[in-house]
Amino acid sequence: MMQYNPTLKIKRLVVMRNDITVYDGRFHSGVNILRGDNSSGKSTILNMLFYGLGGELTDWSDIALLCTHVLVEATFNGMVATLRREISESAGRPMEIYSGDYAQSLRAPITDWSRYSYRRSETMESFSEALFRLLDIPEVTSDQTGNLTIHQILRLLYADQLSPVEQLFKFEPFDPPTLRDTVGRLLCGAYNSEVYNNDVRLKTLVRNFDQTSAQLKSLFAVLGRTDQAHTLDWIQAEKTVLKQKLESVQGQIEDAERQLYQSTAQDELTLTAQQQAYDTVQRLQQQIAAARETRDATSFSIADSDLFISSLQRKLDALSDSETVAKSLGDIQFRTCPSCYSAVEAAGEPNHCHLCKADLNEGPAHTRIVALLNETGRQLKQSQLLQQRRISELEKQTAQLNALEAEWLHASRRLSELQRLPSTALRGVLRQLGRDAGYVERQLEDLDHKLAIATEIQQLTDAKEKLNTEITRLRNRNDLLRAGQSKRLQKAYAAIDQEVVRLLHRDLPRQDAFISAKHVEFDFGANSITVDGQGYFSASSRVVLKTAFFVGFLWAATKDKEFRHPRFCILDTIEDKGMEQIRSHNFQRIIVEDSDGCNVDHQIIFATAMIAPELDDPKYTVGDYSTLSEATLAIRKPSLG
Amino acid sequence: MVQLSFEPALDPYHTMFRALRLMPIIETVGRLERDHVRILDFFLVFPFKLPDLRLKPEHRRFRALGKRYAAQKPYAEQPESGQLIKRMAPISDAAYQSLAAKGFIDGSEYDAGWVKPTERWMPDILAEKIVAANTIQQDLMDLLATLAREYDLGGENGLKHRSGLMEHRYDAV
Repeated sequence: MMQYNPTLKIKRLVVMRNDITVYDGRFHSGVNILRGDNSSGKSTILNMLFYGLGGELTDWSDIALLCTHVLVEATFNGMVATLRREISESAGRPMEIYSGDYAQSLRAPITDWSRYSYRRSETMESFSEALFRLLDIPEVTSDQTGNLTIHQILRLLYADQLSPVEQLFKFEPFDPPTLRDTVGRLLCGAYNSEVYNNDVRLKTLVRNFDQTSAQLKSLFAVLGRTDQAHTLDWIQAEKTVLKQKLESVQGQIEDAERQLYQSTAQDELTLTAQQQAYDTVQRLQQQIAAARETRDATSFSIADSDLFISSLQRKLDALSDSETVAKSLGDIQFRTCPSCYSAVEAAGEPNHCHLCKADLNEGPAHTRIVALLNETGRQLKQSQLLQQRRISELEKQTAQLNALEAEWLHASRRLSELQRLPSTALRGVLRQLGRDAGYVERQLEDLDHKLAIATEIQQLTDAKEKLNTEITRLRNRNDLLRAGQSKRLQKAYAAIDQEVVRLLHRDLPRQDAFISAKHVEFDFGANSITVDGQGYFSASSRVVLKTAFFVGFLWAATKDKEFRHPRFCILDTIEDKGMEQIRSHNFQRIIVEDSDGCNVDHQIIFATAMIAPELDDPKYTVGDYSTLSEATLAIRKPSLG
Repeated sequence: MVQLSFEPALDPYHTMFRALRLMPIIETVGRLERDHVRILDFFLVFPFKLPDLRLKPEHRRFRALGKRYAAQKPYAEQPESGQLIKRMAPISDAAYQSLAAKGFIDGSEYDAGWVKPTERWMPDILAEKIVAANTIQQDLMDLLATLAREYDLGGENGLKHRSGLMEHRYDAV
């Protein structure tokens, strides 16, 4: 049996009234027939299925409202999950999902269930999103329809009795054609979320592009487009010239200062003495700065290594704990395979992995841990040794720094003693030089400001170009995708048309148009279906046509994996509107025959009050035959007295 | 940031050791959800992350613990807590599956999502190490016992929510 994705399959339906189970039915692949007298609750069960899977239901029967919860165990693309919803007349009830089967869910802690609301919010997923993810159906959004819900998809998979028979979708009061069209496209496999995502992204990109253009305009307005003062190269060249100027001014300042120290009128001191004192102070200052830097680097290393050593120490403790566990309890053992969850056979050979049977030639785990222990121990020892060395190094460096500082204090005192008041002329020169330097620095600041604007212009121009490229790329991509989609849609329509016609040809000869049918035209948006352009038939033939459409859509999806139809449908229209028993029997047989001959996993669930005798076989039926006194739901009807 | 060296949180044997340290706490409540135990284990292996845990007002006395264990911050950079506990999950599963296979916890309960300790003899050397470790960190074990006993796992203001370690907004309560 092959499986195309998405595939949805009901395994079990449980209806609860408080703590009492009032219905518990198990379903299988292929055809599932609920059989029973009229008014014995068959439609109620189908409604429960629809609701349990996330459909919205407004018309509950009185007996259904006496129940409190519906639980559905289903597989989504082969993955099993159990869904639970509270039965209530108020719309938009949440859904709780458990990833496992119904039997497991009974034993699991409540925290293993996840509750999803009906509507999504900024930060929270809806249950539709969760189920779409399980089914691998893309998230469908459009401006007119908002986000598609699982309910909208189920409307095209459940042919119920209360909807008008000439309409395809389950009836709903507010029902825009675009929404139906989107659902149809999606199930036909002609919906690509990439188109929508690209459109959304295009909107943002175009907005950014316009903003960037506006920003650029205003920047050019500030700078004036004509001068070249905003090109990066020009600014850099200007900066280089100014920096050289500044350096030469600073050089002159240093010369002047040196002259200031040397200008002496004191007879007892020679120029050389002053010069030497000044040089000594300068030299000591440089030495102090270097010594400080060395000492600080060492202290940082020590603090850093302290952290490292204490974390090694903790690691060593943890390793020794691990070693004790490995030695006392033996190797890691899986009871179930971590990949497929089936039980792992116990007892393998010693020194072999019990999971993959590999030869553990390094011996069991604890010897491997011992190797790690030794290595970490060695690392720790080495680090501690290095740390010792650093600490004695630090002591030396601190002593050296202290000595240097004392020396400097002494030298600077001597210098101030030697200095006499500098001549006023030299002072004047120095002041002028200071002003010059300030002016050049100011010019440099201006240039930096210009540089910032120029950089911004450069970045904006690049960004604009990138945006433009991306916009063009996305537009082209979307044109291509849209073309592909319409081709896909045509192919899907033709396949469904062919399947429905094949079913109509095998109907009992009651409606001429069916016997000679060439084409079936249907339109999701208009919610209608015609045969060779004709739409008026007897009531019972309309029922046959609608049922044939649902079944034909499903068969088309089992023959082409491009369909996103979940290969699942529920029919409550097998014998609506005065259908003759013989015609109903014939149609049931056609469905079973096609289903038995189909090699792709699928499920059809239908209800009938007149089952074809040879189909009354547990292979096809679900539960017992229901009657008024033995209805589907095990609740005694409230007495009318 | 990947650590190439040994990291207890990602070592199945050390996870088993910590699990055995937690057993006496779990015994007092009978059984605990798997994720509840995983959160306790997270704070046992990273006690310096305790300041990120929002305690109930009546447990204010435990707040000083975070500061006390601050010095145990690891030398290397670590991924943020949510990522870390995700990365620990498969290791934790391996450790608890082994404990179930060796008979320290109930296997069928574990499959159903619970950790339930069972009576079983263990070698003295291991038992001594466990007692020693728990005695040194008595204050931390008291806090974890309180988290097991007086905090629900799921929902608004449950342990998932208060620790910020796991998604709680979809919890069915």
